Amino acid sequence: MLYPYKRFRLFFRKSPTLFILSSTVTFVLFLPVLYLFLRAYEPDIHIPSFIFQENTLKILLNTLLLALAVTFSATMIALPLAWLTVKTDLPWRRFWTVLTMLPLSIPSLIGGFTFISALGQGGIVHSFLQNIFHLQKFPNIYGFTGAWLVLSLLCYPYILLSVRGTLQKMGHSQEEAALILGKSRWQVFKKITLPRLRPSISAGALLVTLYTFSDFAAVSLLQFNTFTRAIYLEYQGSFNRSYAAILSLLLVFITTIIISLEIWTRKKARYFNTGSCSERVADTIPLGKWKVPAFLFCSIIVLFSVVLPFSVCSYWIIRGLLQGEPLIIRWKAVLNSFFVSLYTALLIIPITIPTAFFTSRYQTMSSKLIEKTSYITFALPGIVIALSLVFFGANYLPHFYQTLPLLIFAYIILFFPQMLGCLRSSLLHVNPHIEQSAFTLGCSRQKVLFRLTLPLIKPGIVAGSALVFLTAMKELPATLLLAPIGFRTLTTEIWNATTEAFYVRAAFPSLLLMILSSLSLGVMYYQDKRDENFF
Amino acid sequence: MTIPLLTITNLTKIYSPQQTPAVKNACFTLNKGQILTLLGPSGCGKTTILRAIAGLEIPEKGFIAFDRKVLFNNKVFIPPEKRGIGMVFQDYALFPHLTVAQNIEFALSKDSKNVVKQQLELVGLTGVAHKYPAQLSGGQQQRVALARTLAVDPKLILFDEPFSNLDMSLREKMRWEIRQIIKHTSTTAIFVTHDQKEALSLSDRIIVMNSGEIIQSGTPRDIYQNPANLFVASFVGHSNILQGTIKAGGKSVNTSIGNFPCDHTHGKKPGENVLISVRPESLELDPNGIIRGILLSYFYKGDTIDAIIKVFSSEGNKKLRVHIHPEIEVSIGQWLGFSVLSRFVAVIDQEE
Repeated sequence: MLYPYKRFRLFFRKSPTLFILSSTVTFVLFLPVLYLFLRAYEPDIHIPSFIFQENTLKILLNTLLLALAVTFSATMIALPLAWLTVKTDLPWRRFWTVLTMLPLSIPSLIGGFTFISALGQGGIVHSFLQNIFHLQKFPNIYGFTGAWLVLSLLCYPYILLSVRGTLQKMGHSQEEAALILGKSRWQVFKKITLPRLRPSISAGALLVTLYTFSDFAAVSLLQFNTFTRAIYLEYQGSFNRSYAAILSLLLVFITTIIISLEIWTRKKARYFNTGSCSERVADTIPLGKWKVPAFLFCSIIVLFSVVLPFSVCSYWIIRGLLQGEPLIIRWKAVLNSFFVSLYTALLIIPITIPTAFFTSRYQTMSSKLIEKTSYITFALPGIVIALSLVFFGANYLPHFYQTLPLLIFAYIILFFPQMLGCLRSSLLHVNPHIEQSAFTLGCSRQKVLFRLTLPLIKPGIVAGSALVFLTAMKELPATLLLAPIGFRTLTTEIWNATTEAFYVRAAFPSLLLMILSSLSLGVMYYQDKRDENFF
Repeated sequence: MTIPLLTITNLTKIYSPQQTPAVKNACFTLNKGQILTLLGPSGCGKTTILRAIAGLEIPEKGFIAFDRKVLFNNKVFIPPEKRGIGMVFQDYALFPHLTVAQNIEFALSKDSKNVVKQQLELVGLTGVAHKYPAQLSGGQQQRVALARTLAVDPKLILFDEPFSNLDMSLREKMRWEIRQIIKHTSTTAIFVTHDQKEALSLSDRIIVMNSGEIIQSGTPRDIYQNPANLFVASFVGHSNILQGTIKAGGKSVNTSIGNFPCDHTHGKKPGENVLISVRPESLELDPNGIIRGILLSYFYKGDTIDAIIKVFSSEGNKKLRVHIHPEIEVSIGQWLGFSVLSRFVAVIDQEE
């Protein structure tokens, strides 16, 4: 059960400390992004001429085109999957349900790596064809096609999740009523089912669009020039970093549009939900002769989106082991990733707790503002935050630039909203009467905080911190831009190895990351269940 | 005259300026050792008053004094933890991560093993000290909540709808037990409920509320026998409402279906047009009674027969609700006569 704010009002009736702490934290975390705006506004630069040059328009077009294509194809994959796994008598339904979600645990960096190392120059298919048939010419897998394929296969679970949720609650009575009124099955689907699913489809589709906008690893590895890659190239190659800043701001701008759209559809979706829990959820629909094609469809999707990444990684690991490749595991990189992520996961706890308390136990203008500000950074692409820290660090914190503290600071900015969401959700699940009854028993605020509230949300703190740890292990753009020179992590290993076509060296870290990501899916699932059941 | 334990004057609470106040100018006092019940439909402001007394709500204006100290006025607000007022919540609010014993000794200083044992004995729960709240039944959880509150020895305990989460069968038992415990420990208590039966059987005094305002205050007998207005008459128990005029002498009221003797005339003068409330209990089956009608419908309830009769008169027919002793066999369409007991007839205010 979730308890709304209103009844919490009194927890820290007046707490200037909490207000000062949480507003300072939010301000400091938001500062670099603000600085990005300053940076773009250099007096000798004419911004419109940058924005309207051909290159910028091309990048914009590429980004929009890719987002549109990925969203469309992800919907086309997710809709049938959702329907098959929820409504029909497809064999092994539970098995498919779990497997079709698994792409969520494959970072796009690894999606990119497996795609290239399977099909690219020197990749599995390439070498095979070359050795057996002595073929020389190959289709180009880089650019739009590659990025589109990889992202579609990685992203469709977002739509699948949201549509499945709706389908599970949806009965058949409206469809049956329409059939009885004499409509054909196709008409029923078009006029009744599709409109009922539309809010959840668009919610998922917007998430996919957002993912495509902010993805750095896959588009960069596959060399498709969208905003994130262009920003990175500008940062790396040119002396004029203002252009990178302007591109970042443009990306922030189109991202903000998508976020506002998302908020708007979510509000609207409430009206669609008539809350008809009395509606009978109908029996499963027999597939009949369609059983085999349906089964094949699921197999193909799972083969390409889950089995292939795992087997490609395994292939390179085995090959590396057989050839006695000395660099198959670089323990230094594993340890680096581990410790940086660990520090981040531990540091983020005390940093987030005051804000979590302030925004969940208070309902004032300032608490709402702080909450909103924190969530804005969540939607900002990692490369934008990384770039803003590069500027900020180079200008104001030269001693910290390209040191571990600045990298950890970047991670904290990136994962603060995630941790905040986790803690807030735990806090809002604590029955307010528990704290209130302790007050009426005469307990001080400190005692209530340390003996009741914090112990009660401990599982949430642990889960949130674990999630931050696992997500930090997977982080690429900020690590690339901000890590100290010579500091290797799992992700930069994969990145370097893939760009240099040393596939054997990327395989082991990739497998490790995929396993870690599946763990974080597990943590999220566990936390959801627990929040529902515990209090 | 003794000083009341609790004094509340002009208490007003406004949640949002667009809505009517949740509580409007509430005034009452409570003496030590009494059990008071705030009774009213949901949303009438009774819980708001309770929470304001506990210090969990900050009123817009008014005055609260407790145990010779000001808890709230336009300058003072004593926070809940410094008030020394205990509260038992509707959902018991036990600490889920602590055992029963840890719950009870939570607010106590160290070396309180004895207190835990005493309290558990007092509320009739021994042997659960090391269980967790989730392992207890609803009734047991409530006893733990009461024990936890009693352990800090408050001078006043507030109960917010304490029985509403219990089974019907358990409710009556717990009601009786809790009253015993409160009286035994000579504690003062305020209950909040929307259940009129609960209020009548539990309290020394009842305050009936509706839309933020106090409508009537009195003993359970007062409230039931002499409801102040239409709202109280229909909210607390069932009542037949009739129109009439007070007859000379002020001891009876003349209505279209006959003359009703009446003890309580609400200060109205003879000759005035008034409404009267006639409780079903005031109509006693009597073949020679002055009220005669035919039986329209009835429910056999075991302890009574709840029946509707139709009384004919020149100015329109009236339906009356009556109680018949369950031993008597009745059938629909039968003519029945009733005599009137004056103590359950009262003149009430016209307005709701």
